Amino acid sequence: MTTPPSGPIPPTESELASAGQTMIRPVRGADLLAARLEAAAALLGPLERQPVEASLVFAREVDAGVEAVPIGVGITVGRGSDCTICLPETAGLSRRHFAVRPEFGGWLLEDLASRNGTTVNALDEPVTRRMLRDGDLIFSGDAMFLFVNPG
Amino acid sequence: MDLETRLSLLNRLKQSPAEADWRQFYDKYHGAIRSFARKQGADDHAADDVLQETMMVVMRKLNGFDYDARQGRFRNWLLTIVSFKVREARRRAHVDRLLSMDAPAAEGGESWHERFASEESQADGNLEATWRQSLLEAALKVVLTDPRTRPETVAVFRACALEGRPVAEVAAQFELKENAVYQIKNRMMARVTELITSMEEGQPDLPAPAES
Repeated sequence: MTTPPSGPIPPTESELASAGQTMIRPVRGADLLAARLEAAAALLGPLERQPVEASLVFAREVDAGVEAVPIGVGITVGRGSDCTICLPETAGLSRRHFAVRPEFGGWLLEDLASRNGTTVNALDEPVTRRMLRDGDLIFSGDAMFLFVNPG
Repeated sequence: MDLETRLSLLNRLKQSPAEADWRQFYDKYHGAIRSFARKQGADDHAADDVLQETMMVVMRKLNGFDYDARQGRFRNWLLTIVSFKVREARRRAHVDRLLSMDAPAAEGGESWHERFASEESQADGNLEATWRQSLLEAALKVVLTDPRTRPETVAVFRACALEGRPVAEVAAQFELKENAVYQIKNRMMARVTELITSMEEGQPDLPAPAES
């Protein structure tokens, strides 16, 4: 990419006219996104070492320390002891609640037919499968997980 | 867990002000980044994804960088990241379509996934101009919604600068002298230009990254 010329360059008449046509749009969910980013920053902040590979970041309990678990070849989350992330005390969490694994060049979240469903980014609609985005927040039962993908 | 509970979970994680440097960045650039993604073919949802992923990169980069005020460096770094995130979103749109994870295309038309995925070749060609237009739109939004500016001033600026109406006509409508209309236009344009320059250069209190 080229370095811009020095000094402020005022917009041209045609740029202004074009902006006047396209700029007035309501922004959907702007406040919610900011709140999600705030939560992501709060979860990442206490970590002594930032994740260097795709991971789920979460706190086992309110006011407990934050952990980052690498996803690797895939992980499962639930109350069951056979899950990679086992949270036996978490209300609303199924024995095997959801899984994340590498798929299609990204990271696929799959709800494992959980009783209360899995939602992403506080949106109302539960998901069955979703390609995760860096910074997605996953809600299952009373637990919340931050998906990070330093890529 | 209902939506209200999920939102309260988010609110419970308020961080200390010291950890909120990213928020300055968000407040300054979210409009331009969203606008850029939209101009590259993303719908509102995908534009939010691009903004979210860009912000995650910014959060990770906030530590450990020395500010480098050389003109254009910050701007190029940011444009590189945002462009990369748009390409990723485009690739993901293609996967989403294959998985049929999202709503099907409207009857008789292609879905936004298909449009977005097919727009790569033409969109990538003019990133610089698209980014500049996105900064302009973000700056205009700030200026037009500034509560310190009188609504009449905004209306005059909108009429002569954004709608391109002749100064004489605008002056007559608002019962002003033509010179007063020129002054309003020039004053508002100076503010817009100042904001664009500020966004292109980054800001001294942001730890602008060395490399992406």
